[in-house]
Amino acid sequence: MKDVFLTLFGGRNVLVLVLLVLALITGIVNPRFLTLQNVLNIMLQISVLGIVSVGATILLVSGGLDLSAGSLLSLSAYVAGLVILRLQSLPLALLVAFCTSAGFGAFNGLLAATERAHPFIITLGMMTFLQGIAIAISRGSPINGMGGLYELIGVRDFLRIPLPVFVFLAVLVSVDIFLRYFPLGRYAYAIGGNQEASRLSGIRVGRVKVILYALNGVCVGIAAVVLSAILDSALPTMGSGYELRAVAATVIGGTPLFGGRGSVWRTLLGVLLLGLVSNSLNLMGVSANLQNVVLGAIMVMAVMFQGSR
Amino acid sequence: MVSEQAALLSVNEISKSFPGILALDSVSLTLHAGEVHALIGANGAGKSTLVKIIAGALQPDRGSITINGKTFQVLTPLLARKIGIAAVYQEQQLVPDLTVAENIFLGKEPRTTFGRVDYRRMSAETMELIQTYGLSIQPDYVVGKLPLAQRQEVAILKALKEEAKVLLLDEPTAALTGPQIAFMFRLIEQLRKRGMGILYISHHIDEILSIAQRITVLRNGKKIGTFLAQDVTKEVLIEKMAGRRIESESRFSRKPPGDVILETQHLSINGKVEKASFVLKEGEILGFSGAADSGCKEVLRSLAGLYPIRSGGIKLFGKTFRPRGVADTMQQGILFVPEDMRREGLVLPFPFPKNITLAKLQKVTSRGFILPHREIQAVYPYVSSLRIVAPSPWAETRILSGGNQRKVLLAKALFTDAKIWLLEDPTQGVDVETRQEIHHLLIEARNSGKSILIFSSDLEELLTVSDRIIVMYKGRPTREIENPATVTTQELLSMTLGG
Repeated sequence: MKDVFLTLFGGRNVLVLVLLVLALITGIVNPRFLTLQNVLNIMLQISVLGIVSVGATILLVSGGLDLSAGSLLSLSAYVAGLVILRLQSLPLALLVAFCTSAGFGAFNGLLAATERAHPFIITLGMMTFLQGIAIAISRGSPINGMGGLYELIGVRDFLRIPLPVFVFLAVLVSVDIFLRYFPLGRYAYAIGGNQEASRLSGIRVGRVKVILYALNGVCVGIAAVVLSAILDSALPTMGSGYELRAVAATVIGGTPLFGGRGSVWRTLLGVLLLGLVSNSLNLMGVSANLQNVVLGAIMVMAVMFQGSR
Repeated sequence: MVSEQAALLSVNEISKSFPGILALDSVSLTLHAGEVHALIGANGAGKSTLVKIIAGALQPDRGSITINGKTFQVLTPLLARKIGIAAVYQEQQLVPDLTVAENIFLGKEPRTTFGRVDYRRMSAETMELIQTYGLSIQPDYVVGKLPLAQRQEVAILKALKEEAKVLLLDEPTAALTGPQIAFMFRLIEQLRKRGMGILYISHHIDEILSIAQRITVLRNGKKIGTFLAQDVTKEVLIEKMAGRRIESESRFSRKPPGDVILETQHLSINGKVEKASFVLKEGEILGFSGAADSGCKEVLRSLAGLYPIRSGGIKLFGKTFRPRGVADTMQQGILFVPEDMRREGLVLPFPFPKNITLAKLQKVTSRGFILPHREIQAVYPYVSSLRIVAPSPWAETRILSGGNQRKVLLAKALFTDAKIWLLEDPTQGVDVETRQEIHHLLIEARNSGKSILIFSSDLEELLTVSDRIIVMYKGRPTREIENPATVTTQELLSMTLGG
């Protein structure tokens, strides 16, 4: 009996099933849920988290972790906002945002490659450090108006699908190709699965880690640009919380925390679940305070199911 | 008669299947008090599965276990320990940061009147145990710093303290050398005389014949039979294990080697190796023999770029060579194959073909992209020529049997096209048949022009495959055997012990 249950509902299948049941119930309770407009809404809502989660997946697969992603997102968006405010140059702003995120990402990687401490601790420190910089240079005040970024990405759509969704899908597909078909992607799994064996196979583990963390930084940078485009503003704390939700979405999707396995498609499922749940709670009129209770409970349940495999 | 004695433990028609394989097919077995009962079989025969079920680490699909007249359908590790079953695995469940005494008393620490841990009593009782069995450890040694042989002793003491009646030993001599093995045997004999029942798993049939009273043979998850040790010979047992006759291995013919391709001059490694000079020729298998502190492993690992060299030089293909990390030595055509394949050799969550290609992905890429179909094609010849058995072509390495994992490791080495192989105990933990296959593979590799440096704690293996053997003792090369065919295992053993 237990076996049948596991084969039917074990692993990823359970997630697809939960997603469908959830969609169905919400659809019956509130017909507005299944309208095209609402589906597009959900996709827009998950796109930023999705991009950060894809970055987190690269790291989790390789046995790494980045808790500073949220702070880095805030900082990158804020420096981009500053450039726009002072120099009125959008291309320069984007360049600065990506340099910031990729640079600090690589720096995280360098620290992780020293093997002096677990990435959890290293990036926990970096989280405070980067958040501190963002608040210090902003003195706490937001930047309103991202000079054209809003018009470029924030409100634009194609075939009624918002542009940020395309950005998310593009990131997802690129990273999927990277992880599956690039030697570096293969090395990410190898290092996550057995670092010592990877080193003895001639893989330059430290170098690979720096690159992977930098790639995660690039994802964070893209997320920063997209989020500030949607909001048409940059806040020094706009990214806080993303790092943990990204890890949660990745793990819920079925990528284990200890590395060696996983894929961005699983992460997509995790992100979709989180997005669907909060959307349906909204539609059912559950108060924001209560939503977190439900969301947290679902995260725990989903992860317990993944663990049963 | 032994069989009329009351059974201490009986395993009743246990079956267990994993996805794709029936690991145990209604296997029954009895263990008497005061006997050493050996469990043998090829890799994948189901020995480890059976031991894990008895220890409660795995649950059987069918069948039961009876101990002291009580029958259990399912055991958990905790319950198994409670009813007197103690398991000593190769990977032991000791806490490395605690002392010997703390480990032995873990979870049952004696208390003082104030409820605090009574360290004095703990230490005294541990000392008593140590002296009873004539061991050389101290209660306050930190377990993680002990060599493997002594960690095993601690695990056995822990079992004694728990008043275990059944002791499960899985390859207890795998990492031990000559005198340590003899000592372990004396310890086991003492335990047996005290009325313990010992279930002993090993691949070393000679060992088994000298220590066990009864022997149960498993093959492909089925019990072939239980035999009295005095009634069988090594050949008979091997035949029962394999299901067919296997010729005993003769020493391989030698071939004149080519030019010198690797040469070390006064190689020294901090605290481990002093002034080791030797040459490796093309198409030659050079054996290294020595005890744990001989420095053999360090020589191999320093050539692989894993240990810094303090002084001395290395010449590779006539040019000075300074290993700077594994990636560097691999580019020079030197490949290191570690002994501990689970920790250092294989990425266990990978489908096994990905392990084979890992060290040389360039062979299956085009313009920087991995081509999955090319990868499968490229791996196939290795899988078939090494006869790697797996439930599916993309089975995870984790679920393969130990022997097949070894073969994957060697396939990975073959795949790299390296000229020089550095091998550490390449047949550890594999059965007789696989061992012979691996030996043939090494000889073939040699005949095709590869040069192989092999360290093995299995002296018979060294004498079988090596063209030349260097014996090391306490960090220095002491002997060079030009013609291994003229040397016996006994003679080689005494040389490694400094004789």
